[in-house]
Amino acid sequence: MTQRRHLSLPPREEEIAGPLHDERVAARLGLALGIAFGICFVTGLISHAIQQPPWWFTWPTRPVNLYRVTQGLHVITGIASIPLLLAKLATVYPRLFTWPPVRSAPHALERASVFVLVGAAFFELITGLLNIAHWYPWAFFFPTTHYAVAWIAIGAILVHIAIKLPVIRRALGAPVDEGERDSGNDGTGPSRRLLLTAAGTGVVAVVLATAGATVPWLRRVSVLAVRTGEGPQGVPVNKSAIAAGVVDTASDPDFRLEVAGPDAVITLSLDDLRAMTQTEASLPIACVEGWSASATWRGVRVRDLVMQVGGSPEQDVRFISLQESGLYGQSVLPAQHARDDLSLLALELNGEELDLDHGFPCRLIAPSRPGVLQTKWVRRIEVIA
Amino acid sequence: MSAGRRALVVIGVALMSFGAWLVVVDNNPLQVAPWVLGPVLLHDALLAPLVLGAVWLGHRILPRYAQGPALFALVVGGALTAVAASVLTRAGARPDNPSLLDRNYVAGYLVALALTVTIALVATLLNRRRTLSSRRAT
Repeated sequence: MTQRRHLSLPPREEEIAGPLHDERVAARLGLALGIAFGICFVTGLISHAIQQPPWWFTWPTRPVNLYRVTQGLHVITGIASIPLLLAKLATVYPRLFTWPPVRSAPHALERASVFVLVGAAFFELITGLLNIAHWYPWAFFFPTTHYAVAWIAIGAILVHIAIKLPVIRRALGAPVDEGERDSGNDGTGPSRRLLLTAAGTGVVAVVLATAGATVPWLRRVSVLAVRTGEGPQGVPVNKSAIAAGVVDTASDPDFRLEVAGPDAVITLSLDDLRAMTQTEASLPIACVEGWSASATWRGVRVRDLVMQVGGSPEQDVRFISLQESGLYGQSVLPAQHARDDLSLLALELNGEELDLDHGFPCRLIAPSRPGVLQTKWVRRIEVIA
Repeated sequence: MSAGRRALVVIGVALMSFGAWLVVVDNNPLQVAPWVLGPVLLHDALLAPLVLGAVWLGHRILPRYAQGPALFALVVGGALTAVAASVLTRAGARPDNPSLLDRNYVAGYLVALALTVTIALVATLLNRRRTLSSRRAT
């Protein structure tokens, strides 16, 4: 490894290239990037497991904001990684042209692993960023692909760390500005510290510019957030009634909800539901896309409906929507959520009858769950044996 | 290479293989491949040379006291631009859902850039004053 540490007599441009291409800067950016990717990976796995739970997985119902926080972190750390990755690549860019391009078999493998790492990292950040903006210029299915490539990215990061460990140790152990004064830097020109400050400021800037989608007090500064937090009844909408194709069926005055359990199948009109004991709960709607908003919901406890048809608190409950198209026409509420005091079949949002876009006539709202599993326009509830 | 580092390589290769297997069984690799390879090639062949060219040019034409602030503006402005690119055109907006992409992103982006440039200009002026006074002192 050749480092440009001695800047006393290089061509003038080297004085700028110096801070850009130094291992001390690269290692510090890499450390930050590793932490951000690590948090992003773990929170992403959590979200994946909640939506497609393996047999051993359970997700707590408290705190009610838990999923809001983990998924907010997923998107925020992903966005923070964008400036970090670009700055990191800038610091190592000249190494792309090392000569000879391949020195040995291990060197070839190392270069291949870096190529895979950068490809997978770019893929994850770009697809994630476009997904939260609902922009899909590709043919593949986002959730499964974003999940699969995440394993490639995290594996490639581990290989990269293993290969670079001696360099990382040396670089992190050395003070950032060591030797810079000797190179004639009087403190007014670009320095390694300035480059790190700029990258850090870039991270702060993109986080402030987007985090308002989930952090209410940042809404006014988050000029690039995909949501202001506004929407019908003060809550944003992910899929409208028009997009779900349920406008006619959901506004049908003859709407009846079916509830099926081990003892009975009952049908309930909207008035029947209104006549049942109503419970109020303050719960967030927390989208997988990282935006969230807290709201006051009012409706019938899921538990009460389950008991009416002879179900027990140990049983999972399936919610089936009027929405027939798409993958999210139904969801399964695990038993511990189904028996929770705060899990409602909501009829009202922020003091008004549900807006059609929020799931009128009735929708599921339960604590600490992804919005995509808070099924809207519910037509049938099944207690699962 | 120590045993710990070797173990890390083995774990990493295993995770990468698992991900590659998922791409093959759950997805269409031919649809995924361009989005894995394309961004790296675009970055290496286009974006990186442009940025490093700009840094080199800045070094040639800017006075020394302006070079640090210019680099700062390039990094912060570049970060904002990369993130803003997904919302600036509101390509994902839908007429049936006004709560999505409900900001004036062009205005917000320009204000954020203007703030970045202002910080860089103030830093340039402070740097210049420091340079001039240290010159006078010697």
